[in-house]
Amino acid sequence: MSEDFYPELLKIFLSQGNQRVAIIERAIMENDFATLKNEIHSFKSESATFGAMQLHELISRINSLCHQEEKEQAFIEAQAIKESWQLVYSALHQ
Amino acid sequence: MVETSLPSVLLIEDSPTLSLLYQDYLRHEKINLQLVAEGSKALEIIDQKTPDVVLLDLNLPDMDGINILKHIYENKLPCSVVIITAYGSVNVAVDAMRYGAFDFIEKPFTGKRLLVTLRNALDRRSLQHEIEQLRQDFRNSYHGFIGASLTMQSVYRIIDSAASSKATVFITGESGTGKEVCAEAIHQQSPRNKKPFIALNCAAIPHDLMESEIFGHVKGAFTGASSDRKGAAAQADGGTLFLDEICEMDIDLQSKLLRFIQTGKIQKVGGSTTESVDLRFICATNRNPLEEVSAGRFREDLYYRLHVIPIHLPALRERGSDVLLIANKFLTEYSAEEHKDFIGLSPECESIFSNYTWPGNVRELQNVMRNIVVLNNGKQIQPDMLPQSLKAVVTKTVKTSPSITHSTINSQKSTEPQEILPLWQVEKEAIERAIAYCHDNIPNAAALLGISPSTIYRKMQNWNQKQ
Repeated sequence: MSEDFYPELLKIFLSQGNQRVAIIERAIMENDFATLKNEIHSFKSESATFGAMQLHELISRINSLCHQEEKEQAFIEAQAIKESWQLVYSALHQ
Repeated sequence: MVETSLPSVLLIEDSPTLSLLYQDYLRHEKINLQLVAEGSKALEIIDQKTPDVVLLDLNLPDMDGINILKHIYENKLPCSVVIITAYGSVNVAVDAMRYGAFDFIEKPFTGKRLLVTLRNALDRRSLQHEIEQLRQDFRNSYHGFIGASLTMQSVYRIIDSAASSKATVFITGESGTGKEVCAEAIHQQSPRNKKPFIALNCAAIPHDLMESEIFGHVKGAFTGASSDRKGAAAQADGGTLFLDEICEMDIDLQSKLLRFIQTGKIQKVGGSTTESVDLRFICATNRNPLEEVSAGRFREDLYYRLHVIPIHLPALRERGSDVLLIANKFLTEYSAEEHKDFIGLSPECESIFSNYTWPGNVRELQNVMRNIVVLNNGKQIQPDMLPQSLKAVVTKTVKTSPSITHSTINSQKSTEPQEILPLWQVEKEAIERAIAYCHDNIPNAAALLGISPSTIYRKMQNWNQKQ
């Protein structure tokens, strides 16, 4: 990866991550399972690509629950995403 | 700026972060990379100008990525698809392979992994392109020829290459293989195609008239020369002169032909002046020209002067499924001409046609098809519609036919010495029988006998001299 490209990419990842977390939060509040499932799927690949492994593990677990249609458990676990993302955000933002 | 000669790659990825990252991975590749985030936009681009490679994320906001793959597969679009899949959805990717996906890569992946997969996909696409090109070059017909066999492809290629030159072409091949068709194809393919193509059959014209046929004559040159006449050479000026059955040419005339080829000048019979003509020579024979040279019947110097670009036309039996291709072509043509309903050959007939040796080659096949169409009705050609020559083959293929064995033995036993005839008489009877069978149609009789019509004419001349 080119050196001057990395900060630009990171900026997009962080901004995109903020948006995804906001959408996930709203989906939890509105009990919108379809949106949750879709955002979780996309966020899973992004978190792994940027080496946010704790976040990735959490999202992978929720992704499996979504695929098994275990909605209630998926919504419960999803509540931990915001905190996990904030750790990633502050570490990468420095 | 987009370079159109570079291979095109379409990346379909809805995550802006990942899309940007993959773009960076591919930054040194010599490709035209297009990025889209939505399936509908991707389909638009694919239909407008199909990219060489599609990197396809299956999880798209407006549709399932698998629908894009199905669209490419069902429409047989010329591109390789690489599936980008999230960890845990490998089963989906394997399913995608059934719809023709070239490969899949699992997220997260390194830049190196993406490059290797993309280069493999581009290599595959390049090979597919070459195959498509070769298929396009593979011709089912060419000028007057019908044939898709490998042997004919090589004939077409020689004609393509030789056509633009003025070099003499020497065509060999059995009777009925299409030597005149080949000569015409060379002429039509050449820059001389707006000028005349003049064909002379050296066997069909009496020896004493041949010189006048080629070079022309002046008034009073011989008895019956009531006016000046242009010969074939002058008529073909600027074009092509085709001398068929060249080995039948009188040895004295061969030396005049050699001089003409060397100088490009002709002198009419009885004339005193010469004129220059610009010709391309094509000659043909169904004999082995070198054997004719060895036997002293064909001048060696003329042979080497003419034998510049040799083309050997394969016998029909060496052309595999061309037999059926040609048979069906003639069947369609003659059915239309004769207002019949034939649409094809029965599987039994296809087998008989494929196993028969076709001694008279395409000419024989042509006559057989005409014979069948004229004498029969129906949709499909059946074995009982085949002419006698092919029926004999059908009978021979029935290995355990006691009646045939019996009659063959009996006929051998019944031959008494006094019944044995000179060979020329046996040949004469066979030819006369064939002519009678074909209602005096000599070309048809020749095809059935597997010889050229000029051979029959020549033999008839000889019989007349004997009597």
